[in-house]
Amino acid sequence: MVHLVPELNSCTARGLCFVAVILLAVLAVTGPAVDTAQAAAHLYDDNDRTYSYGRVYNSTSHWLGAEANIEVRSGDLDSDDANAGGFVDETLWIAPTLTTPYWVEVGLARGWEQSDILTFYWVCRNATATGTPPTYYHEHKVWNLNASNYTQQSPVFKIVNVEGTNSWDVYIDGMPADDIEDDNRAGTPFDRINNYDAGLESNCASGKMGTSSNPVNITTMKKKTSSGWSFGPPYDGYDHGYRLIELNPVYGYSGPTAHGYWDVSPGQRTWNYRNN
Amino acid sequence: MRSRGKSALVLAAAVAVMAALVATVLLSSVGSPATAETASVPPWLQERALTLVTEGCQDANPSAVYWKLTTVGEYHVASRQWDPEAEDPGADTDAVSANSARSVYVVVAHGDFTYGWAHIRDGSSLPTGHTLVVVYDLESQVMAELNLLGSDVDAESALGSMNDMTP
Repeated sequence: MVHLVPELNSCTARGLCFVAVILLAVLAVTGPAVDTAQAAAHLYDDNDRTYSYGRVYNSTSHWLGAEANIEVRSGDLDSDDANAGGFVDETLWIAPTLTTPYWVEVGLARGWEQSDILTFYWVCRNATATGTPPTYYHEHKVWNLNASNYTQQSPVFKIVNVEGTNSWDVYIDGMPADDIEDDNRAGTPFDRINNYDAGLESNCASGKMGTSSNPVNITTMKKKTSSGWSFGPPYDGYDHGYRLIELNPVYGYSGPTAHGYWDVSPGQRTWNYRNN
Repeated sequence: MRSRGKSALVLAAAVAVMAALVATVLLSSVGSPATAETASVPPWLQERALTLVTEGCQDANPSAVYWKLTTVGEYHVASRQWDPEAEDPGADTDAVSANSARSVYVVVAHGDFTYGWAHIRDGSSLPTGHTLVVVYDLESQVMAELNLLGSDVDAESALGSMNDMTP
């Protein structure tokens, strides 16, 4: 049997023990190989959504494309939690019906994933041809157009069917909205639409979209038919055939307790904000 | 004298084992190994990706999270294997990317996801799925593309050897 304790009195053993202690201390200080700290972010659900948009809809129509010009200065788009998953955006959506769970959209967002940046993007929510799962959602940052160049002008969004297919090409100011793969084409289960929306969306708890001196305007909402492009059909008597659908106040929105609403004046293409 | 020698040997062996352990930890933290299996994940990527998975996609315990440094071109080829657009004859599957040599990080995660940061149409529910494929641009560290697939897809096999960063 080896008796260790008496042997620790030796100079050699004490030296080895000292080295062992130092190594253990290094191990303790070094800790995990990788920093696992995470940024603060909060969960979002459907109830966080804020929308205000115009809609063109005709249940019996079969359109081949849509175009919208939403005038809001990008400097007037702001999300307080843009670096933690929050965003505000101006967007054009197209869909085959009002209830199908898939669509294509193109927009300009302040806040992108966890980056507080201004960027163009396009999204496709997809499904099988029968509309049944599995579903497929993908979003693409637009790589060839610099959104920061649009602080004083508004982009024109356009989504057009690729003739004879279920694919749709996405454009911004007439330029292909290319993602990092140089691709601006969305594959979908549909080749026609009967409605399209243009306006604002937000998932942030606090932010702004437009100001009193620079309000949000929709100056164009066009559709494409076999005979070309035209403004949307008259809807509720509003000029150019779009109406506003308001789910939450957006201009001046500063949280769940904010109040107010958007309205549209017949003959005008401006959203007017009024205090309650 | 003989007993003292044995003690020294036992202690020396213990020190050697601890030294090897420390060396392993230190090497893994600085990412010295060149092999993909033991590469060190950049802290910013780990933080961003795991926050996206656990908070943005609302699964605190994903079954697996992998990452890889690759190029746009290689990602484009691999993505044809799970992208349903590739099955659409009208899809732009042969897009030649000017960015094909651009370096990107690709993250693949498996779990039960609901993407709360999604851009959705009014009246639609948040997208859900079981496979998440995300592309981050290396230079800007900005997310370039996100794919949430409804089914459980073996995307990591299409991408080749990937590194594990499952939390």
